[in-house]
Amino acid sequence: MKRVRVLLVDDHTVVRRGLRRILESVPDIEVIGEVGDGVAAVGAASSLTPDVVLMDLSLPGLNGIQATKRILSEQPTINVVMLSMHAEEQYVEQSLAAGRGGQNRR
Amino acid sequence: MLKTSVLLVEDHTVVRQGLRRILENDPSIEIVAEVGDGREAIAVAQRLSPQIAIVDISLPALNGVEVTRHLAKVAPDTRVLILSMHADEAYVRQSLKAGAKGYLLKDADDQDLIRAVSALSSGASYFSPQVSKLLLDGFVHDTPAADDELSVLSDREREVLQLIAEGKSNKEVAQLLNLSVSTVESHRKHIMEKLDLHNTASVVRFAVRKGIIQ
Repeated sequence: MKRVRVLLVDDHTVVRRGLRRILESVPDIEVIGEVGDGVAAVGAASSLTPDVVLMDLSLPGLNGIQATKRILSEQPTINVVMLSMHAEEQYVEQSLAAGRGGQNRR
Repeated sequence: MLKTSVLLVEDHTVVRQGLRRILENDPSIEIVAEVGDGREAIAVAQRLSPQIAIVDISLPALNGVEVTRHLAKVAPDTRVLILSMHADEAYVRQSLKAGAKGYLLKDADDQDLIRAVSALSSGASYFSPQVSKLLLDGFVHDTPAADDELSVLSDREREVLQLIAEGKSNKEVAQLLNLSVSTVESHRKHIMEKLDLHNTASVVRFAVRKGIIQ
């Protein structure tokens, strides 16, 4: 079985490490990288070509929506899943406009 | 070996479960309960009296500072580690005054979290480096208390203030706190008088400025 290769993007290290452990407990998921800001996410997505990017919405520098736009403009086949503490409609709409997939409320 | 018993209080489920996995990876730690709500945290801590409570500072309805204040009364043996996204002096000061023994930022890594729990379980304190710096600067420069305005309110008034700022009606606040509507109305009136605020919008702004709500 081909494993789903995931890039994790969250600026809060302890949160990111926790997410990594949750994902790593699933046999068909492989976490191939983790980064803490939007610029690094764009770079890592380009060099690692993950199947899925799990992206925190609020990141320093380049936020999750901006980073998603850049990643998808380079590699339109990557699936970006937005992770957010906010269920506000405007964020969901912006996330959907920036890429495919939905928004998972924490 | 006797394990350190830990209660985990964080409203974002995926974050809470991630923290649980990090902590459970350490053989000296046992998670005795995890909850997503401040009031439930108080009830559970009272029942289980865990050695450590890891409390997210921004919880809905009853924030981490208020939870800490309650725990100091109902579970005095439980040592509170505040978990926060913000290295903000007002938050740190309020948390410590409420009785917290540690303050960990969410940009800490998994080993820092383990170290913090281990420090608190041995009777010591733990602060993320940025927080230590804030405390040191505050001590050296003896900055005026940023929470002076809040200290004019009673514990109950601060609870009511958070709920009002979250948009709850007097009736909803009354139900949540098991009070009569007229008691809530009178708390609301006193809060606004003490803080010199004249409408609900200014109460909300005040609560955001003071970090009572996000």
